[in-house]
Amino acid sequence: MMTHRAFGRHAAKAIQAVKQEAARLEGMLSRFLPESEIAKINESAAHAPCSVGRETYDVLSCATQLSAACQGMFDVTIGPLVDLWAIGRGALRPPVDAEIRRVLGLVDYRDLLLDPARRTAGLCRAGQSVDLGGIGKGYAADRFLQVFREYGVSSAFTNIGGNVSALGARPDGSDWRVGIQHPRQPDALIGLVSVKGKAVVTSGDYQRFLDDGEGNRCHHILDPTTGYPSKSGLAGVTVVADSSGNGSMIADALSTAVFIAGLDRGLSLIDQYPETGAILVDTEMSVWVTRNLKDCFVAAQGINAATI
Amino acid sequence: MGFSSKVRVTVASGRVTTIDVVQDMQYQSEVTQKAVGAVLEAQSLQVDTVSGATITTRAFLKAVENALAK
Repeated sequence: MMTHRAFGRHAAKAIQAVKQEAARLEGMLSRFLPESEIAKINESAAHAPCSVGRETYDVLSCATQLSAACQGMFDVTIGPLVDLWAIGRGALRPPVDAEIRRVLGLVDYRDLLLDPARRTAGLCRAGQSVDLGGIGKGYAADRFLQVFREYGVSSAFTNIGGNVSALGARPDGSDWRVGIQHPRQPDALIGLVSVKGKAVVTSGDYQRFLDDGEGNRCHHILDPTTGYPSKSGLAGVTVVADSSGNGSMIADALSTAVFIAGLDRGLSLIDQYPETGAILVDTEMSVWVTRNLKDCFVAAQGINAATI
Repeated sequence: MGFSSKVRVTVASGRVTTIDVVQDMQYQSEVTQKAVGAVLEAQSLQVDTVSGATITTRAFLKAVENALAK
C-alpha cells in the first residue's frame, strides 16, 4: 500500500515516475521473482558468485554493513528462516524447534561474500538466501525521494505501507506532521512528530499476528539470533532519521533491529547514529522518546511519554 | 464492505474548521456525530500521514484526509 504526495510544477509527472520506479525495484530486488538479481544469487548459493549491477551491489553492501552494525539483530541472510515460518504466505504456525535450530545455522550475513573489483555477490553455503524484506521499503523510499528531486520537486512525502519519508517541508514551509500509530488501537495515535526532510519508519508486533492460544502474540518480526518472533517487551518502535542519501534504508533496518533488541540494547543501537532518534512503546503502552526528538514529538491525549 | 458517510470538510490553514454530514447511513447517525466530534477535538493531532506497522484507514477518516490533501 503506497501513498505519494508531491507539490510543484512537475508533481504529477514525478508521481508517475515514482510508480514506474517501484515496479523497476521490485523486478530487481524481489527474491520471489526468478529473474531478479537477488533470486539469482540465492539460486547459486554454494556455487559460483553472480555478477550483479552496480545498484544491487550497493544495496547488498549497505545491507551487510547494517547487519554488522545491528549485531545480528538485523540480518540480510534471514531468507531460510522467513521461509520456514512461511511469512508472506498466510500460514503462521510455529515450526518445530529442531527445524528452527537447523535453519538458524544458515542465517549469517558474513557468508554473503561481496567482491567489489569483480562486482559479484555469492552465498557460501547451500540453502542460504538473501532477503531484503527488512530494508526493501526503505531503499524504495530513498529512490522515490531521489526521483522527486530529479523532477524538481522540493516538497513531497511517500508512505510505503507505513514507512514515511518526507522530502523538504510542506509547501507553505511548515513541518510535515507524521502520526505514530497506536500499537493496540487501530484508530488511535501515540502522538505525532513534526519534521522536515526526515524518514519516520515504524516496526511493530501488530502488523500480522496470531494468538498462540496462551495469550502470546505471535507476530511477524523474527529474531535472527533465536529463530523465533522477538519477545523484547516492545510493541512498537519508530525511528526518525534524515531522509537524504540512504537514510530511509538505515531507518528501516534500525526500526526492526531496535524492536528485536528491546529498550536498553535498542537505545545503544540508535546511539551509533547521532542524528537519529526513536520513539519506543512497550507492551504496557508506556512511551519513551529519545532526547533529540523531545521538541518535535507531541503525545496524544492520555499518552504519557518519558524522555530517555 | 462497511458503513460510510459523506462529509463536507472545511479546511483553513491546513486545519479542519467544520465537518458537515452531507449523506449519512441510516443507522449510523449517532456514530457519525461522535466521529465528527472526535476529529474536531483531535485538532492538535491533525496529521499529514501516519507511520505504522500497518495502515487501516476507515471510510470516514479517509474523507477527511482527502479534503486536507487539496
